Amino acid sequence: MQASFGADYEIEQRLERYALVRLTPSSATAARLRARVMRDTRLAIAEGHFRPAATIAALETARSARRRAAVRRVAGLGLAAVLSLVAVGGVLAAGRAGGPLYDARIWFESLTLPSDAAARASAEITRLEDRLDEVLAAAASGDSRAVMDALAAYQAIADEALLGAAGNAAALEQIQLALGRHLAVLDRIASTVPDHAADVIAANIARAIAHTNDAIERMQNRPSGSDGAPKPAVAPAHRTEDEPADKTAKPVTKTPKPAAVGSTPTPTSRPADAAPTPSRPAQGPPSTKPGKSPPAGDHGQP
Amino acid sequence: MTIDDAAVERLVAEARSGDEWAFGMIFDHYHEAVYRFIASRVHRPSDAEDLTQLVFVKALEALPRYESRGVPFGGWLFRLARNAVIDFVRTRHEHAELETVAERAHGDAGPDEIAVIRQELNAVGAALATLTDEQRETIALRFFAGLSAREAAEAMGKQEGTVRGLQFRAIGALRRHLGVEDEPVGAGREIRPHRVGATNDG
Repeated sequence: MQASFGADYEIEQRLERYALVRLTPSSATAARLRARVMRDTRLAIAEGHFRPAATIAALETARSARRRAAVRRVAGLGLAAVLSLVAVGGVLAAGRAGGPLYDARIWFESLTLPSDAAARASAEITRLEDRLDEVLAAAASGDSRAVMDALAAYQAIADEALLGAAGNAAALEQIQLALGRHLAVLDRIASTVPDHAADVIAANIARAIAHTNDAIERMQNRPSGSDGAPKPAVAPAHRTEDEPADKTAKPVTKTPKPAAVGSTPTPTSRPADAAPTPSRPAQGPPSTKPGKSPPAGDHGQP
Repeated sequence: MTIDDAAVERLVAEARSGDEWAFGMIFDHYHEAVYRFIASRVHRPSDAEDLTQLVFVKALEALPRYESRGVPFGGWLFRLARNAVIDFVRTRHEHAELETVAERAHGDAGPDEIAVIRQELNAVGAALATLTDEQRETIALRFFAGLSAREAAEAMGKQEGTVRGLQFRAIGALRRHLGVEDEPVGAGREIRPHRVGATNDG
């Protein structure tokens, strides 16, 4: 062991001599090196490249505060976006047929109708077709409440459309033709209602068909020389969810064919002038559900 | 100059607050060791000089972020030096080899004596060249730079025991290559590397 220490000591001495002779900087090199390093040090301090530890700590604190603020800002924006999406989604869902904001949506639509009779008639027909689409979709999914809401809105819009086109024969004819087409659609919808909701939906569709028929007939039978303003025979159908469907009155088999509309007036059991005035003003408050205001039992029954 | 670790830590603290004089003292304490380590890893003296300057400039810039936490300052400084050498070798596509970098004057030695010394140094250089990179780096840090085993371990990013093992094997390899006989010299004396410009070692 001692011999090993001796050999190691000899190696250490040789390494030290090697480092001293071949690796150690000369005094001139050391002086030059020091001058260069100290010059760089002064420059770094003067030009701000070297920041004392206290400054670094202050900068780090400020930087982390800015980072935290940015994170909070981004999180806030993200939260706001999520809430907005939820709100928009909720409003859209609530504005569908059967939703709590559906009436408000329908009322809002009526506010945007044009004043020109022809343009207004076209817009009303578009609204009627939208309601038909909603009826179709709701009936396909068996959502009886949505069907009833859409049908009530349809009837109210039909009344409004006829009222608005009273002084314009072309517009009136346009609406009558559209209503005739819609009767066929309603008839088809009634035959495709799912079984579990067939009674309620079919009854409501039947009422809507009858209502539309009445409206068409009233327009065709209006007394000549009058002011031209039709009086809607019935107000929008009221909810009859609790009532049993009147199978015998189901208009699926009684509905006049659209081709007959406007050609041969069909006498009805109820005179046109006996119809009540529309209960819903053209621009009523959104809380008024179309077809709910008129007293039940005096109209809408097929 | 010789200062202890506590004094080094005080100088480091003052230099961190922007004290130029304190940083100058740190340079005086470490520059020779850093230069030796770098000179043992690169070819030309000019490269060793430039890299030494670079290491101290980097140390100045990184000093405010230095936190002792039980890590010796020497280990931290030599880690910078080691990284600088690695970057230099990588960018220059050179292999770090122990070659003659410079040779100081041999005082009043005669031509025959100078020839013997040169022969011996060449033999040491050749023996060092046979070591593995890690063994050679350990020798450079421990014997040329005079770091403690702990500081060398910090600089190399290894465990202290690993560094001691590398040193043991490197010394054995050098003995074999240099043909150093096992002679009972300095019985019981522990082999410790000479510390460059410092009083403490590992």
